[in-house]
Amino acid sequence: MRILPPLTHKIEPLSAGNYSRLFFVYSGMLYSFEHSSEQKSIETDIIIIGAGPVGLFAVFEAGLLKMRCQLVDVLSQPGGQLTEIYPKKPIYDIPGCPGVLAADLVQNLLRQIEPFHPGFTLGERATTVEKQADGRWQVVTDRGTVLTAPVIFIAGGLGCFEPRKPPIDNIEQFEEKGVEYFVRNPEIYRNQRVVIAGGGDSALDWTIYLANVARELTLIHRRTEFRGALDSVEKVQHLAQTGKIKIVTNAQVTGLQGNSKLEHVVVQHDTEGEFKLEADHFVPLFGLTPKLGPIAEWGLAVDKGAIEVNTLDYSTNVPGIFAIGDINTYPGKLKLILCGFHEATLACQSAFAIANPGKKLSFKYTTVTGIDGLPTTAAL
Amino acid sequence: MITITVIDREDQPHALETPTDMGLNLMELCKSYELPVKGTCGGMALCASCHVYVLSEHPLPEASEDEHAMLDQAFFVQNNSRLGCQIRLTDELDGLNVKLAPDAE
Repeated sequence: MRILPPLTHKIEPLSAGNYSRLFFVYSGMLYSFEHSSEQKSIETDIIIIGAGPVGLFAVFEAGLLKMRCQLVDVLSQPGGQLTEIYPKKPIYDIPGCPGVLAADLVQNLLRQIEPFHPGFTLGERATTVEKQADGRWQVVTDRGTVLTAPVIFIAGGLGCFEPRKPPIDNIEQFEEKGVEYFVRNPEIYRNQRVVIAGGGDSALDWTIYLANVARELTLIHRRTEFRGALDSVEKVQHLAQTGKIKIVTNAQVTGLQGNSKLEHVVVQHDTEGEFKLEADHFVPLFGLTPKLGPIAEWGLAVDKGAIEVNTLDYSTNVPGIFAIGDINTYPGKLKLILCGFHEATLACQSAFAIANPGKKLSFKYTTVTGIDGLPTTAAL
Repeated sequence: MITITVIDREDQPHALETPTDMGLNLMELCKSYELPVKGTCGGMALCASCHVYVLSEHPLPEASEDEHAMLDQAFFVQNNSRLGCQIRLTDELDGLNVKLAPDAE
């Protein structure tokens, strides 16, 4: 997948301790949500895996039924595909919206669910699920966050986004030994020889940033033209003209060499043939691709990469686990956001019965009850 | 109806018959015949899971900026690389011959 520029958001620590808050600026207004950081235990009513549009809307429907939600997403920002893949694309089939940019739909959903104070566990992948003695589910993330709830909604869309790895035979052998698919900590490149591959925005942005950090920096791209933001392209070209970096176009990295760690990158040039570059780090930046990931091992009935559900309430074959949105399948399934919204709504009805055994649910329209925190009649 | 030949990743040719009045694209056609084409992004030129090599000399629509940008990030790209989702099936494409690019994901 191609990565488009992220939304404007930042994560700021609130105070000492393990809590931080997530801030979004939208139409000049600031929205903030609790964001869990590493090594934390969270108890809630519904664990929602996937913070895309359907996962976000599930918070709203759950909130109407007074259930709290914790959203988990491997991406560092909410919105799923809409934020990660096509933020600037208009969507025309959201009822009541004659046209809305994907990024704006996400921001509107965030605004809509803010009154229900969802928790966010972002940048973490849900890896295991286990039933506890008390009947509740425990989900553990790859960063050790432990989430406990009677109900799980899987709203995982296409799956977990993972970096696309170039087809180089021994690339996995050099992971953690000089090959990185993300720049997590720019400081590890200080005074190092770095080779970046790719021609999109992230390759250009990191080339510009690391030009002043690395000892030597080479950018390798398959074509002559770069497709990133014009401003970035000009900056990179200027860096090359002034000798700060090297650019090799019409070339691809085809091999990696080294003993205990990366030492050489093998480059295949379209016309000049093969040559080697000394390198301590190779950073291929070719975007992200979704994979079903660990969810595939949770004992759920899966058909062609999608989770089978009962259309009565979008429950899976495992009681207490529901699947909503693009990740589920049933006869007549359409992968549409609007269908996911419907699925989330019905799933919440059954989730209520599980989270509140013995309690009766009375259905109420929002026009009757109103929602604290959302605009009132006078403000609309 | 037109016929498109798609060579799969095991080098097996498949002759796919298709109408041209439904606005189908090549990715959708491959999926409807259950060939191993994912079409993950749904046809927005944003994933390259429908990457094909065009083997015949048919007059194809020019690749858009979006398609070029995606091919920039794809692997195993050659001069005859295209994204199937960007090739709309028209009468002029009768006899088109394409090969599925290796699965890079």
